[in-house]
Amino acid sequence: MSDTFISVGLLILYFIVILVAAFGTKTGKMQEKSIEEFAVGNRGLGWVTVLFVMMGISITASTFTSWFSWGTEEGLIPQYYFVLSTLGFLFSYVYARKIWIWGRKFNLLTQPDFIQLRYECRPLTLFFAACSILIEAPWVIMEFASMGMVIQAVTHDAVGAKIGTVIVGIVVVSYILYSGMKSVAVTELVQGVISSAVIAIGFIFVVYRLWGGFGPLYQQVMEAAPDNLLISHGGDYTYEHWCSLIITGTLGIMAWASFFSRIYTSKSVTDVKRVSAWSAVICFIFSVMLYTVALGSTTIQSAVDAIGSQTSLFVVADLAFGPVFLGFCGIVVVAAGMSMVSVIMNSHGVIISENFIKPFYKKGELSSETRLKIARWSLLIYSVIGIGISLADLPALYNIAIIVNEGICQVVPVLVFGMYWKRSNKYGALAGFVAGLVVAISYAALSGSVTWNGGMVGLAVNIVIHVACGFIFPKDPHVDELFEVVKNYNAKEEALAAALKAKNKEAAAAKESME
Amino acid sequence: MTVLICICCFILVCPPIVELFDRNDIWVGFMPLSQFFIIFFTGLVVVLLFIMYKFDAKYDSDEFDLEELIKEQEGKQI
Repeated sequence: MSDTFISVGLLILYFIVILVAAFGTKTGKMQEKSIEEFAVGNRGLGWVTVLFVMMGISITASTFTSWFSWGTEEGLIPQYYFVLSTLGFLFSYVYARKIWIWGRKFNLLTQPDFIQLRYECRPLTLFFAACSILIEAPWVIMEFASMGMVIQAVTHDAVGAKIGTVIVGIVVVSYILYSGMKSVAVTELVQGVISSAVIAIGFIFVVYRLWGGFGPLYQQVMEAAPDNLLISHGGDYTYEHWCSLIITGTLGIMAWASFFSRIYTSKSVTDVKRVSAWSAVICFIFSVMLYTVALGSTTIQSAVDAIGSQTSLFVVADLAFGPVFLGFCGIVVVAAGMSMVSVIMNSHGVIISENFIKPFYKKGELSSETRLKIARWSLLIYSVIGIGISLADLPALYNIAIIVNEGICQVVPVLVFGMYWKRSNKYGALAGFVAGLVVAISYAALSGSVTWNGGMVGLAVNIVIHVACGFIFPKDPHVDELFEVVKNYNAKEEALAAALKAKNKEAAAAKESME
Repeated sequence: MTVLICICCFILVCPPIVELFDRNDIWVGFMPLSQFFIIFFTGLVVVLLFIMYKFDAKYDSDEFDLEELIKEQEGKQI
């Protein structure tokens, strides 16, 4: 019982700290006055802040519950996630320049804004926005479910996972509603530091404590479950399946609306590249430690018994260093869940306001403050629905993510061709996207294949249709000018012009007030 | 650098190559070849990406000191 008090006490202390940060500091208290401030922090967040926001999207609560337990059960195959979460940052590095420049020049707030700018097709933008929300929404549900599992594990089953989901859900939603992007970013910075310290450093000690070192860990796994040291798991999985998981997952990360719009929050293209490079390094170190311990956990019977409830990590943490370390791991998982949920919900609230509601009003008719209110209300309704669904009996969470990635990667040809190929047009984008989705869903539902997954087949169909339409239909007239904007962009000249304009405006206002 | 990164990514997602490395009877140091394959090639991508970033930051940065620029501009106007 005293062990439970210690681990629960640490978690309660963490909630108090972040709620004080949200409600008690000047960065909180619903300070945002405009939708731009709420959505992208006025495009002026420091690179370290953006770093942990980006990492918060790829290191999720489900990683610690579902993927860890999968690693305990089947060894190497779930390490596809560690590969894709690192490669995903490679893509953000490559695409940063165009996305950031168009975002800055045309005041883009969301990924659908980017699609509307490039293709100037309202039906495509609306369909794209709806798919972005529907495809990414399951992650919110998974994260709420995972946070409930944390409460169950940290309280040693005294509080059930579903009640835990409701408790954590109320805290998280209040925190996100009250704060905006800046406040969320500050607490994600704190969470990121704690997570990195506990997992990257703490888990090294766990390996030595439970297995006597890295070499002995692999030897013991070889004796207990040699198939866990094979990617194919002794023939249960094909190599095409492993490759499909990585390709669709990596492309999927780039296609996530919440990941995409974080690029807008940076101060410069160099900052985005800096964030991508450092995120890849930290994610890599973090993932090596997490998945190594998951692999080793197959030799611990109590961790194997916890696979069904997806709480193997907490069993291992408790066994290694008792309730204090269990409490810290609980904090890390809840923090990761809060990061993911806050970024996605912030992004989706803005999409609902900007891409579903605003287009139906005349320009300027809907003020920034009103759009901000709409975003907050959308966020509240969305989160209530998310918490509700997460209380249902869900399958293993990684299965949901795999299916979701097969859908989200269909977005990639629309983005990539849109950025690099002038002949890419709205007909190819819409037809390819729809066809890719239909094929991916049908293939997944009907074929039951474990070779190339439905996402890969859908992607192939998507690309063929997109390219064919590019040659059949003429180039959109506005595209040349859009590409010239990137070619001629000079960050110094732009910033200088904006700064001098602001100075002149200030001087004129001061002169007017003197007169 | 880009070519090397592409090669590493291709190695990680090409089924025949993955099959070649998926062995638990051959060990590299203290870990089986299958684990080494995942960690080594992913780690190589990370290192190459970081080198690419350092290069871009040195020769292709869009960062600058705005205050200095404004002073320079005002100096020219005078």
